Amino acid sequence: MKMRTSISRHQSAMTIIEMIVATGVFSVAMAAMIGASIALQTSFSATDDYFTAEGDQLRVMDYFNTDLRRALAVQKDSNTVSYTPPGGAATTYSYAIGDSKATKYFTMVIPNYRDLTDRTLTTSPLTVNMPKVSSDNKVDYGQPIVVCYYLSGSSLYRAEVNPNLPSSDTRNNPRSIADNVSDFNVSDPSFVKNPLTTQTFVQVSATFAPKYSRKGWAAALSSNTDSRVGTTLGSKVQLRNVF
Amino acid sequence: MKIQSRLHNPTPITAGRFLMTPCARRESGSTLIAALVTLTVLALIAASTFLTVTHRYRANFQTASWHDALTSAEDGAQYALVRLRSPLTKTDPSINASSSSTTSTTTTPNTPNQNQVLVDPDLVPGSLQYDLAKLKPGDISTNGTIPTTFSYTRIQLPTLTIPHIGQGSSQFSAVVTVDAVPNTGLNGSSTWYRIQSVGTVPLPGNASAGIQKYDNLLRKLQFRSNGTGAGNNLTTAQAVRTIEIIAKPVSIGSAALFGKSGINLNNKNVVIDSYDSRNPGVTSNADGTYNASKATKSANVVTDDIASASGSPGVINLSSTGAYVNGNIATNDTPVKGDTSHVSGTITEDFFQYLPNPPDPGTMGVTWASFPSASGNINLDTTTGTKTAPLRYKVDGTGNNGTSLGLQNNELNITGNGYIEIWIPGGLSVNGNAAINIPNGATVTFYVDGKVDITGNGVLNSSTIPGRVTFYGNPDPASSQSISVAGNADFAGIIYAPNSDVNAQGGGNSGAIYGSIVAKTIFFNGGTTLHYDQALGDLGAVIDYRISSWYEDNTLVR
Repeated sequence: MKMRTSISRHQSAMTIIEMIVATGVFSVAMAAMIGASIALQTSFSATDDYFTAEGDQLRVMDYFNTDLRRALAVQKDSNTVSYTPPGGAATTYSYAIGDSKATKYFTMVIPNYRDLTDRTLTTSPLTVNMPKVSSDNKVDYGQPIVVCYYLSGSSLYRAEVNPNLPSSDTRNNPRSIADNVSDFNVSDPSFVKNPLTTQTFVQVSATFAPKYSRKGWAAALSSNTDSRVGTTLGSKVQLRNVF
Repeated sequence: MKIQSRLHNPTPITAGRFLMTPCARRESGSTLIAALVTLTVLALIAASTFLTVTHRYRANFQTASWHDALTSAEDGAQYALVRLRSPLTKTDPSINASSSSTTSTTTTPNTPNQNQVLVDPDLVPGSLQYDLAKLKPGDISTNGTIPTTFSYTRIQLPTLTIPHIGQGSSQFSAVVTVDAVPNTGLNGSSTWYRIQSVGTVPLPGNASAGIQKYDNLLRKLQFRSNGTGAGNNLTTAQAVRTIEIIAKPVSIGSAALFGKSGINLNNKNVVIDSYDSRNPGVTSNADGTYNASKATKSANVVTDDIASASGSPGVINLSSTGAYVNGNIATNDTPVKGDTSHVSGTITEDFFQYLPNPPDPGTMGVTWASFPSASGNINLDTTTGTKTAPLRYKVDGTGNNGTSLGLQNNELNITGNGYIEIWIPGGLSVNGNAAINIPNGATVTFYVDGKVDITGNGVLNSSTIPGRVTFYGNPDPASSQSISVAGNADFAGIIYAPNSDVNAQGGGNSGAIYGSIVAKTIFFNGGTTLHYDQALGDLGAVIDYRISSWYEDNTLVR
């Protein structure tokens, strides 16, 4: 019996030293585990943000490229663009930006391809505006659509205004196409040889403030910091209708 | 381990060990729970990671497929362009391309076979142009199907399949439809064509969108329906992009001067300018003729820079005093020589346009009537001639000058508003006070294989309206044909002679050239003037189609 008591007492308790050691080991283990979990979570989140940023960058470039390829006239750093319709005189087309935070603009006109005035259609309208050939041998789809990009805060917006739709039509509303954009630029690069006669190229780029940079990403939204290095995307686009 | 020990040793060996067993059982349970919790957490993390990666993977694939869809659509459009370009030329077996010594292909990539001659695609049965002009909705065409859903003829070509090796879909496709742009091809002008191409790429994986909400407005991927109102009619999700291009015909008169192997404008008295007979009273006289005070600056001078027989590359030389060019100059990578200060437009070095040989009347397979004697005035009425069946005359040796036509103080009077073709296998001379009088309504085509001289006060086309007069040179690239316009002679028309040398010696007081010239070499001397009618850019035979408008339909429908 003594023996059982002795053994039982020995097994049912721990010395203070054992408790301290056990608690210490447990704390270290828990700290390591929590630290690893946080690191894992941070890394996972950063990776997620990285791919999100990559998706944003691809989308912005795709938007720019799609619109520029079909543009009839392009004007950088402005919400107006001058375009001479086939057989007509030079006309200024503008987009009225209602966003007081808008800081930078980039405007173009594109052909008015589809007749969108009939909204009763349950499917995509099959009606297209039939092109005409003007007396000066240019293709005419009618009054062009104005497309304007602008930066508001860290969001890049795109508006597409169809002249055949009432201004209240929601399809004329600007839509955000990407977040975390700090800047964009459009330039007409000089060529080694003289400008091409039948095609014109422009260079377009957008700078993003990446969230996945753990340092200074907040500052990158409002200032030009090194944390943005490497996140400027650009491409050279052929303006296929501008010649 | 302790559970295993207990199972293998169910009977305690010692009291001490027996007493320790309950404690061990509790520890084993804690470990199991801890392990399960850990495994659950790890499984959740793994699942979350897997889901995120799957979404990213899908989004990336969808983006890539969306890009591929544009490539497919572009391929479809190019395919249609090839189909349009194909009937513009045909192989002429009478031309031995291997014996040609006039040109070198060293400086010009993509120079096609030199035994290709120009043909009118509207007159080639089975061509896309022919079917679009002749057939109606519902008719059968060898080029494709003509749907009855449209009130006009629209040919849908066979679906173009594009094999793809690599990740994603193994096959892209493009559905292409072609029709004529309304109100083109009238009054002798060439037809423009509209090409609509829909590129489709199947999307791999489940029919669900990526997690990037902004992508949907741009890419408009189709998961269940293709948007035609036929319900959920898709078994495979797909990326679809639609482009529409307008193919503009490039006519033989699209430039004021086109020198295949170079152009020499020898002094500052040479003047090239333009007017537009389609805009009477504004850029021309009321009758559409040239008016110096209303002249425009659209007279372009271009060259392919193809090397001459000596091997030296072609060039445009404006002379040290600087010829006047009221328009643009374009070469094929060779700088312009001479003083360029009198050039009103741009000078570029990125030009190339393939020039097929002129039509060969000897291989047309048509009947030619004997041309009347040329001893006195000759009258030819074109009234019964049509575009598809023009009146055809050949100077076949029954006249006074063998196979040549010589007008010396006599006139060739062409009347009526129809079509007529005149084949002169020998030479043509119009001198003294001779003239070839052509009314504005008649469409006249000359095929001249030999030497051409229009000198003295000779006039070819007294109406000075060049749009309906075409002058084809020798179709053989090995020919040594020369065409001269000198003195006070007038010439009005389109000269298409890419195998010939054209010389204009404008030494007289009144002579001028109205129209355009395509030749192997062009030499202007003295006070030669050329007034280019901008209307020629839309008239005459077609040598190519060029994309004049490009549009991708990405309209926000609703």
